[in-house]
Amino acid sequence: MIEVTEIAKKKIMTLMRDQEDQGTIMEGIRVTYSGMLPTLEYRLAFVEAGKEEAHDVVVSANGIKVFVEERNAGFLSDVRIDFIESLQQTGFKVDNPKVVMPATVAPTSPANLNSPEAIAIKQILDTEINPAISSHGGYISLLDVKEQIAYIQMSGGCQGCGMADVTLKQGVVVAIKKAVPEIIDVLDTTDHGKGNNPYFTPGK
Amino acid sequence: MSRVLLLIPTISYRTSDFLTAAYKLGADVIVASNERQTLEDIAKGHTLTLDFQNLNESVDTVVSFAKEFPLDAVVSTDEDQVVLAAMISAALGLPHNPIASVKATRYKDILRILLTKAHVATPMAYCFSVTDPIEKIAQKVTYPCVLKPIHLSASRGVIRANTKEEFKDAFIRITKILSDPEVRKMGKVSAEKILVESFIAGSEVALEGLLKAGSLAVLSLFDKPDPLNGPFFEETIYVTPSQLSPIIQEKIAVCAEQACRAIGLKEGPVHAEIRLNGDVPYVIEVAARSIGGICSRTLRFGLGVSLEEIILRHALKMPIDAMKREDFASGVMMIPIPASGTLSNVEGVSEASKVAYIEGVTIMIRRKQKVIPLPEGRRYLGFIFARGNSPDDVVSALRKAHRALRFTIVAE
Repeated sequence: MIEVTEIAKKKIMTLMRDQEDQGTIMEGIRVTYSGMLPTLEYRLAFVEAGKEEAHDVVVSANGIKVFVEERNAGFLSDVRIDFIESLQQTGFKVDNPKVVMPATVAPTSPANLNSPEAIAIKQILDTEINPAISSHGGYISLLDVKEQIAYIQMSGGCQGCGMADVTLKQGVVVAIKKAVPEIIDVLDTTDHGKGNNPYFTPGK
Repeated sequence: MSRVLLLIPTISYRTSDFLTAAYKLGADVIVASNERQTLEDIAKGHTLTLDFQNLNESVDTVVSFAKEFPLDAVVSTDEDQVVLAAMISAALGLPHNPIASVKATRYKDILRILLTKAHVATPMAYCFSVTDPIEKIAQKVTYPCVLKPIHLSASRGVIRANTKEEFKDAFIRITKILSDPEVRKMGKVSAEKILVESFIAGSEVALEGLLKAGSLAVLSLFDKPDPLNGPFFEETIYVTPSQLSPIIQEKIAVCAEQACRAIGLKEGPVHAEIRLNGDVPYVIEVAARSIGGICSRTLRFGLGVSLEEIILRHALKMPIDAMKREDFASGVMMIPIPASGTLSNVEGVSEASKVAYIEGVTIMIRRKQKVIPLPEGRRYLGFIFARGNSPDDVVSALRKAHRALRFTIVAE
């Protein structure tokens, strides 16, 4: 069940009132996610009254209407929206108990690489993607498939590469979703900060 | 679904931030870059290779591509491709700034002429050829002055001279920077010119804005607490909200809007650098792009909307429901390169990250890579981000975190 904490509710209501003062009535907030693990990013945005999407799933949490896209409803069904105000962090914070970091998956939850989806993804990686990115010294491994999400890891020239996100979103995700339509997203678990030999470096 | 073409050079700092924002909006994204993407054949229609130096050929390539994959907007993530983005948009009949106006923002000599003609306060400037006799020029200019290449950005090649001797040294040094083959290729005839302008004493601010039908909405005004008095003009800390008085902030906003009007800019992001001489704002730079590096991560609007999302929403004509920056103070430090050589080690990142109010420390240069400080270099070692209750908290945190970092650079 989606949860909105009291402090988050208070902040959201204040911001909604600001919008109302400027003449825009807001119906609620939308939660989306993007990016790569370990820095998966959740985003919050206002939903203007009358501008709800036809396929939105709407949940009332602590009096706030929370909108999520139908395709993401399962993945986001238990998120907790909080507002943090500490010395280290200030702002809205979204926690999702369904995201399990790969490092903690291994001991308790063995990777599921024998499912038909995982086998199909591995085949795409082996026959199409890896031969292509090898020209930049890159390699991509499938770590796991859980709840229709494929977890991958980039290495070699891809790790830390300035264009790794392009390779992922404009190539890998497209190819995997096309070959395995059941997959709703592909998440990159790579620690790009540790890449020693990236193919492209920002600023250079 | 809206389709946006992002022009992203392979050296861009902003690939991830723009892609993340575009995907969040549910836009269909095409990435055009200067090098062929490895998966271009596997995911046709999602990436495109353009020769960013050959503008006309690139326009033709995109026009041909758009026949099969129609586009709703073209956005350049970085400054070097803003002219190309305007040219492509013009060819496709998409809303855009006048090409001549965008070009003016790329060339400091044209920018100065347009601003002066429109009576917008800006340093008095002269333009010289690198082959002009230095002795004669050094006699002609007034001191202190600032010498800068016409077409380079990020303070690269910008040097203050207080005397004729310093002028001659600076002129020779900039001429050397301009002789770099890559710089020449990028600047073409502009790489043969040096702008010399009067030095405007005072503090400096950076304005981040969005133009809609010629009207400028100020998204954020950054103070630069470290004085920029030369001899080099290395950017370090940007902090917002500005602590200048509301009257001065309003003057700066009006001045920036007048500058945009003088140049002819009407739509999209604007990044302006302005110096305050007393309470008179002088326009130093106006760029038809947003803040560089990954500094935009310091900005959040409404419920956490990024600057990139606002830019893309505007380009795709999507509603922008939050342009008010969050209530917290935030800031970024661009970590300067202290010496030239090879970066052999970075220590203290964990310690710096634990400083109160620090939200992140990102090192951009890898070990074993060459580092070159200003004025010849153009990169930063990385970025430190902080968010707190006041600008003072933020600035103190950034300085403390920076002190915790230790870089070992081996001279060559």
